Formats: sequence, C-alpha cells, structure tokens
Amino acid sequence: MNGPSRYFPWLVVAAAALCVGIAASRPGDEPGAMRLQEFAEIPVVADGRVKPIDTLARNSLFILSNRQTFKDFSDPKDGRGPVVGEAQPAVKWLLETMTAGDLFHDPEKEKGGPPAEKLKVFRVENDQLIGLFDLPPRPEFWRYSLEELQPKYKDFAERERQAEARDPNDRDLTDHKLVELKRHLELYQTLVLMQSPELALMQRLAESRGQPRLETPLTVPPAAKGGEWRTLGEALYQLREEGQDDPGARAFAGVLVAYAGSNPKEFNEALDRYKAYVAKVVPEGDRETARFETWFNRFAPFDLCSILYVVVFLLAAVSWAGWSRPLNRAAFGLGALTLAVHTIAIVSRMYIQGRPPITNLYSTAVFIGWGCVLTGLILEHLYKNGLGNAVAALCGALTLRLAGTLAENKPDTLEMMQAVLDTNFWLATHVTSINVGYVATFVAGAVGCLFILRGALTQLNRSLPAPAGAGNAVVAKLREMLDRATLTPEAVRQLGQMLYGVVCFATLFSFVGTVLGGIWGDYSWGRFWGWDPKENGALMIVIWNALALHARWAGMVKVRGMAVLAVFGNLITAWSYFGTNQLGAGLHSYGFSKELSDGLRHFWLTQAPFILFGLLPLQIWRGWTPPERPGAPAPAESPPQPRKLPKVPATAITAR
Amino acid sequence: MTKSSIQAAPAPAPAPAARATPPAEPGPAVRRGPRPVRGALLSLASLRLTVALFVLALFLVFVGTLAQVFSSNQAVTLQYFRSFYVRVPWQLLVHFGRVFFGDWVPAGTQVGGTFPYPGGWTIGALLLVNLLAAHAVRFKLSWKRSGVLVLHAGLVVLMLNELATGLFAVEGSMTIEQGGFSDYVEHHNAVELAVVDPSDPKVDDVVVVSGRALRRGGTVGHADLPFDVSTERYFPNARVLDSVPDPAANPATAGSGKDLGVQPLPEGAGVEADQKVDAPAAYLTFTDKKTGAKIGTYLTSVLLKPQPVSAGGKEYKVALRFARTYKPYTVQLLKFDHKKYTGTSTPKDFRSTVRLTDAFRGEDRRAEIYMNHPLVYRGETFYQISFLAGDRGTILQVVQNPSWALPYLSCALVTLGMAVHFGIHLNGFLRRRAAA
Repeated sequence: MNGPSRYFPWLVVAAAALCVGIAASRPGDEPGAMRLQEFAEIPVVADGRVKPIDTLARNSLFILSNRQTFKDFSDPKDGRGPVVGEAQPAVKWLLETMTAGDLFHDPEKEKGGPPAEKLKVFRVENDQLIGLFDLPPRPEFWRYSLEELQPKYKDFAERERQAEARDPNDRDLTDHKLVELKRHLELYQTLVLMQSPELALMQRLAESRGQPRLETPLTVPPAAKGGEWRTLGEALYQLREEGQDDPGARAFAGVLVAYAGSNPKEFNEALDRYKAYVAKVVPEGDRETARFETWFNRFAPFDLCSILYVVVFLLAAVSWAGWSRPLNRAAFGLGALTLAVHTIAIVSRMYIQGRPPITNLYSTAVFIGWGCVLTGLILEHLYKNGLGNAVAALCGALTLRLAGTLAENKPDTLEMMQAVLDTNFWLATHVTSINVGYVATFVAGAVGCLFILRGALTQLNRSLPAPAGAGNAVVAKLREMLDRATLTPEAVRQLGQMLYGVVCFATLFSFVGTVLGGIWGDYSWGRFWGWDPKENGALMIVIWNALALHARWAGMVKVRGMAVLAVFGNLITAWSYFGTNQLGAGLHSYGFSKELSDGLRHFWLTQAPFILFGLLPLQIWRGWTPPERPGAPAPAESPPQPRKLPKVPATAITAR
Repeated sequence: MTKSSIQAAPAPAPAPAARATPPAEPGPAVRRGPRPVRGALLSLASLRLTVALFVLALFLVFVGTLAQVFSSNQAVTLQYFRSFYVRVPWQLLVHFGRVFFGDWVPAGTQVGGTFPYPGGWTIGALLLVNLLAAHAVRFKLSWKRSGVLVLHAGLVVLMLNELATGLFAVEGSMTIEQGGFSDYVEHHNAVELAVVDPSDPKVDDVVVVSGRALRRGGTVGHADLPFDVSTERYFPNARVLDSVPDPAANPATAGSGKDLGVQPLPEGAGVEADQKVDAPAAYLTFTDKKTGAKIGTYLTSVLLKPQPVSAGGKEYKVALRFARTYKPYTVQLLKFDHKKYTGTSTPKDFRSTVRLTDAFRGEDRRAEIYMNHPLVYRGETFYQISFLAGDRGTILQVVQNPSWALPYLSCALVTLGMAVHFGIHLNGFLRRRAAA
C-alpha cells in the first residue's frame, strides 16, 4: 500500500478520537462568573433515586422543551435587550425556575413576572394550540414562554378539561397535545412551588383527605443519618410551624437567594458553604456518583456513538464504490473506536446504577446495539468483506436511534426498578442472555437482508447492457460497485457460513435465556413456565431459530432460504421485544405506547420487501443457478467457476 | 440427512440422488429393522415433520398470546396449551391488526367464528414422537452426535416437565389480613358451596358441595347436608348488580338475591379488566330433607358474603366461595411492609413477616417472604404475589409442584448439549480457516 492508503484509516481514527476526547473533557466555569457547572453536581433525590441536580434539570427541561439546553433571544439577567441565542445549560433554566416563586422575588419591584416566565421553553407546535393561545408562529423553533401563554390560559384550561374528560382512546391529536401541555405546565409549577412552604401545607391537606401526595423532587438532604430528604418548602414549613431549624435548608436557600440576586460572588460563596454542608451529610458514594453522572450527561456518549456509527456506515458504503481497502479499514477502525466509547457508556451506566447492564427497556436497546456492533466487527475481522462493518454500523445507529426514542418517553433512563426486578443475579443472567439472543437473531436478520439485496443487485448487474467503451466515469464507477456487490459462489458460501454460525449462536442464547427466565419464575413465584405473553415471545424466538436450523439440516433450505428465514426472525424478535408489551396483558407489560406500535409496524414493513425478494425464483432474483450436474460445463450466463453443486428443485425457498 | 429418510417423508419434492449434505450435519447411519416398522419410523423421524411441527407450534404460541388480551392467562393455558385441540376465534387476528395496523383495520371490526387448531398436547406429543423416532432410526454413538443426543434428552425432560406440571402442579393463594391467621389455600379456578354450622362456639362444622356438581345441575343430597341443593341457574362468571334487572322474573325468593341481580359475563374474562379472575354465581334452591318443603331460592356468588339459611330448627351460614384446601398448619401475618422509593409511589419492596405454626410437626417459626425470596414448607412454596388495598394484608401464592427440579436438569442438559454440538462445529470451522 502506498502512503495515503496506509495512513488514511489511522487519520480517520485519530480525528474521531480527538472529537471523543474533547466531548469527554470537562470545561470549567468561567472565573468570576457563577460556578453553575459545580452547582450542577449537587445531589438531589428525584424519581426515587439520588441524582445530580444536572440530571433533574436536563430531564425536566427535556420534557417541556424536547431539548436539554435552552436558547433564548433575551438574557434574563441582562437588561440590554435581545442577544443572539446561544445554547445555555439546563441547570441555568432550573435555577431560574426554582427561584421564580414569591420567596425570591418581590412582585412589587419587578416589572412583569420573574425572569423564568420569560424563557421560551414550552414547546407548542400544534396549530390548534397556537391558534388557541393566539401565538405568533415560530417555525423551526416553536418554543414559547409562560408569559406568552398566560393571557389565554383560561380558554386553554377549559378546553383541556374537556379533553381530559374524554376516554384516552377517543382523544384526538389536539386533545393529547392539550393534556400534554397541561402536564408540562404542572411540572413547571411543581418546580417553582417546591421551594414554598405552601406546597408542604397543600401536601398535608391532600394526605389528610386520603388523596395521593404530589410527588416532587427533594432537594434538602437529611441532617442526620436515617432522616428523610425533603423539599426546601417542607423544611421551611417545619421551621415556621415547628421551629425546627435545618442548616442544610438554610444553606441551600442561600444559594438560591444569591442566584436570584444575580450576584456571582455571593452565589459562589453560598455554593461553597452548601457544598461543605453536603460533604458532611451525604455519603461519599452518592456524591461521587452524582459528580460522575454530571460528567456522563455532558459527555452524552450515546449521542456521540450514534453520529459515529453513521460515519462508519458511510465509510463502509463508499468502500463498495472504490478505494475499498483503506476505506474498509477506516470503517473497521472507527467502528472499533465507537464500540469502545459505547462500552465506556454502558460501563458508566452500570457504575452509576450499581447494576448489571440491563435494567429497563432503554438499556436493552443500548445493550442490543452494543452486541450487534461487536458481532458485526467480529464477522468483519473473520471475513474482511466489508459486510460486517455495514451490519455493525447499521445496527448500532438504528438501536441507538431506538434508545433515543425510548428516552423521549421517559427521560430518566437510569430510573429505579420495579420491585420484582430488584435482583442483580437474575438481571445479570436471564436478562443478559435473552438480550444476547436478540442480538444474534437481529444480526442474522441483517446479514440475511444484505444477502438478499446483493442477490437482487447481481440480477441488476446482469440485466444491464455491457458498458460501451469508455463511457461516463460515474456510470463506470457505478458498474464497478455493482460488480463488487455481485454474488459469486464463493460469496454465497461465505455468507452461508456466517448466517449458519450466527443462527446457532442465537439458538443457544435465546434458549438459555428463556429457560433461565423460567427458573427465575420458578424461584420467585413458583411457576417455571406460565405461558405469559413475554415468555411466549421468547419461546417463539427459540422455536424460530430451531426451525431455521432444522430446515437447513433437512435440506429444505440452503443459503438463500436461511437468509429469508433470518429476515423473518427479525419480525419475530421485534414482536417478542416490543409487540408483546403492546397487548397490555401479562406480567411483563411495561405499558402501551402508540409510537412503539407504529414503530413496530414500520419495522415490519421494511422487512417485507426483503422477504418477498428472497422468495422470488432463483432465475429472477439472482439471475444464475448452480449448474445441472457435478462436473457439467457451466452455463454461459453463470459467473466464472461456480462451485460444483447439484440443482435443487425450484420449490419456494429451496435454493442456494 | 439420508436419501431414504427423505423419500419416506411426506415431501412434495423428489429427493435427488446425489443430494449435497449441508456442511453442518453428517449423514447419520440408518439401522436395519423389519421393513414396515422401519418405514413408519422413518416417516415419523423426518426432519421435515419437525419443521412442520415447529411452524404449527409457533402459530399456536402466537394466537395463545393474543388470546390473553381477552381471557385470563390460566384459561388460555388450559384452552390452548394444555389441550388436544382448540377453536381459535378469528377476532384474535383482527385485534392484532387493530393494535399494529390500526389505520388499515376499521375500528369496531368484528369477525365471528373460529377455526380449529391442534392444541399444545397434540403438537408436543408429535414433537416428542418425532424426536424419539429420529433417535431410534439414526441412533449412533459418536462424539460428533453426542451434543445433539444430550440436548435432545434435555428437551424431552422439558416437555415431560410441562406435562407433569399440567397434571400435578397445584396453585392456590392465601390471603391474610394484618395480624390475622389462615390455615387454608384458595383455588381461583374452582368454587364450592359451603354450608357452615356455627352452633359449636369452638369448631365450625362445614359441608361443601363442589362447584362442578352445581354446574351439572339437578339436585344434590347427602347425609351430611342439612338440606338438598338444586341448581336453578349457574353462571361460570357473573357480576353482581345492585338491583334486580327484572323483578318480575327474579328466581330468588330469599336472601340477598331478593335485592341483588347478576349480569352474566363471558367465561375466562374475569369481572375486573386487570384481574381476569372469574366470579361464578348461581341461583340455588334449598329443600328441607324431611318435609320436602322449599326453604327458598338464593342467589349465591363468590362476591357475596355468607347468608343465613334456617333448616331443621338450626341456622346455617351458606356461601359460594373459591374452593379451599385446609392445611395442617397455620400461617399468621405478623407484619406486611410495602416500601416505596423516596418521594414516589413506585414500590421498592413488598415483604410479609409470618409465623408458621404446625402442631403436628411441632414447628413454630418466623419467616420473611418477599420478592424473589419465597418460603418453602412441606413441599409447598409461598411467594409474595400481591397485597390487599391499603396494605391491609398480604396475598401469598402457594404452589405445590412435584416436578420443580426437572427444568434445572433440562437447562443443564440442553446448554451442555448445544455448547458441545456448536463447539465441535466452531472448532472445525476455525481449523479449516487456519488450514486455508
């Protein structure tokens, strides 16, 4: 190899590593300014777990705004008027919101409401809602401030009441959006009110009436061991009513007051005081994970990986056009680097949670993606045909996209677990092996798809007229690509081996995972097998993989048949993974979601063309069949030197 | 795959003479035997039959999953998986279409009718026969086949386990209020009519009539029963209504049935959407044994409290209730804990602290039962399954399953078998690669 070809892969990997390094590094706070980054690391309790205030801020802002940062065209702390919108950290928005109550602002002095009400963070894009509030349309931004929503709030509340009175199944899109915006406004309200003793009073009233208590994040740590986390409002209420002083509440309130007063020096001093207090009362482990989680949030390794996987795929795809060796090596190297980042991300989640890798639906997606990438890269290492890279990148990008969608529905992806899942042993064994089974089945499906696609390209290549002399350079390049994609007997053999190996692997892990699940069931609630929907889904994957293997051993299918079966396996695995939950029956139903059932349909529909193409007769699909008899001369249209194979009856999927 | 076994299989395609053996599977040897027997065995041993049975099994599991949207898991298990054949309603497939292809299937589409389909016992038995025949025909002890042999042995154990569980496992539940006792297990899949004589302050005298006898209709009379019981109407599943829908045609002449009515519901659907436990009800007429005079027609339901019935100068308490099995020991609930994650209503832990007293064996011990941590006693296992609203008490599931150990054996066998079988292939593959 000459210079550029040799150095290109290393250059790509080095450039990507530099990007990762920058993303992972930690920018400090500007000297003299408020140390917001440091504030973000302070531990609080929300959704039942200790987390940094950064996570609370990002998740809350994401719910309202669908973003983890906010942009505004006016700086609330600066009266100079509009400045160019620059993305600002969520924690700043949270601080504005937490200090929006009367406790921190004198309504007499300030014109209009507190600055938080001027921040454009409520995402409203439904035309009906925009009309209802009489809002100016803001294409591509669609975010509005509370101040803008206030004038027509009464009309909105009335409409929302009607929508909520309707049965959830009968609500139309606008109804859903009305209810959703109401929830968002309530979340904002909670974040404002939790600093106020009035909320504590309301909670007490609700409790005495037997109503559910309003759940709020808890910001003040217990002063003594065994105590409970409280909101600032609760602490102030206890101070007012019971004379119970709490230095923690005092110090935390000091930070907020300094923020509201826009005084960086005071803020930083108050922050130091509060941090010193937190160091005394919050266990070192909790503080450390909170600090780590803040870094993890900023690093956002999964976002980074999903971009890098797309780059890997592009490199792999371009490699089919030419300069393939360097491009393929670059794709492999970059894939390996991305896999390393992906691994770090999963290990980080395990460290924060103190759990095995899979604890909820979100983590299955990132884990399955990780497994598919790893398998794809191993296949690439074994066969060096560029296919493994493509499979790895495709699966990685798609699963991380899926994870992103799941996180949109439930932003806290490190949530606490349902009581029955609270067992590291079974999470580590049953859940992990089931998911490794999913991985292998999906990888087999992906290989199957590419195999069928290559067969169709072979036919395309054959049916095109031979290039006439020195034609168009682009056409020539395209033809070269097609030549590369053309299936030769050697390629068929290799892909057949790949498929067979992966399906064997899938059978082993899905079986072991399923039976371990049964044993967990036996151990935990006395039935090894209960024919529960999720169990049935797992069983279907096992049966399907066993079916594919037996059909192969019976000679009913050869490589192409296996490919079709593997693609069909995708449908079944997707059914087991998401479909069974959508039925709303059984032990494992984690909740129905319209997006998921639509997503599942789209996935199924994308697989259908592959299955249909794969079922076409050999002559039409690929354009060549193996020769009639062993030793017979190859027919004119068959590719050079086909392997000696008997002709197989052209029944359905029986063909090599 | 050998030539002869393909020819014997009911396959449409004629087997070519020089069929290539897939690289994966070696051609096993065929044992000689009397021709007709061998021929039959060969067809039963066909791999094509295996594949066909897998397809059948796959679809059964699929419709058996869909059916659980409308029926309880228990009912579906009996109808689909522990049966020889099942009638599958077309509506299940329509429902599937509604959930996932909602835009294409109009709302409210109803398709009546059912189609017959082989049940779990049938498919399982055929798979077992197929597997055993295959090994009978092609049995050959060699290292290469050892993995397959072990893993198939594990599968046989697994199938036998499902059979044994279906036949012998008994499931029930024990509901105990805070501080209360219980010495019986309730079975939600069966009911009984209990006639209680509470006249002895120390011990209740209880006579029960099985729900099956009531459902069959006719009159039940027995020396121990203070009156004869005849069934007017029986509902396998019914909701109790606050009023009688048609007072003129009310079958009840006495007891709560005079003011309450019933609304029959489909069997297996339960009375509450999330519970799916059927609540049987019946109109029963009680007749005095000596005089033959009617005491009255009563409405009974598992949802109603015991009702007083007078016969022969004595007062009895009569109730339709879930079938009970009395145990020789008592379980007392000392404490029920329901912990939540800080500041949320998400449950973190359910835990019952119980005291188990067994006068016959002189046992008296405390135990904690919580998620993933059951109590095992006298071959029965107690699991934390649910709790009474407002944390008033606990519901324990009590399971007796004599074949509980088989899955462990099966899992070990199959895993070992697969590891050996695939390991041999992998080894061969890697060696070929190294040679190439």
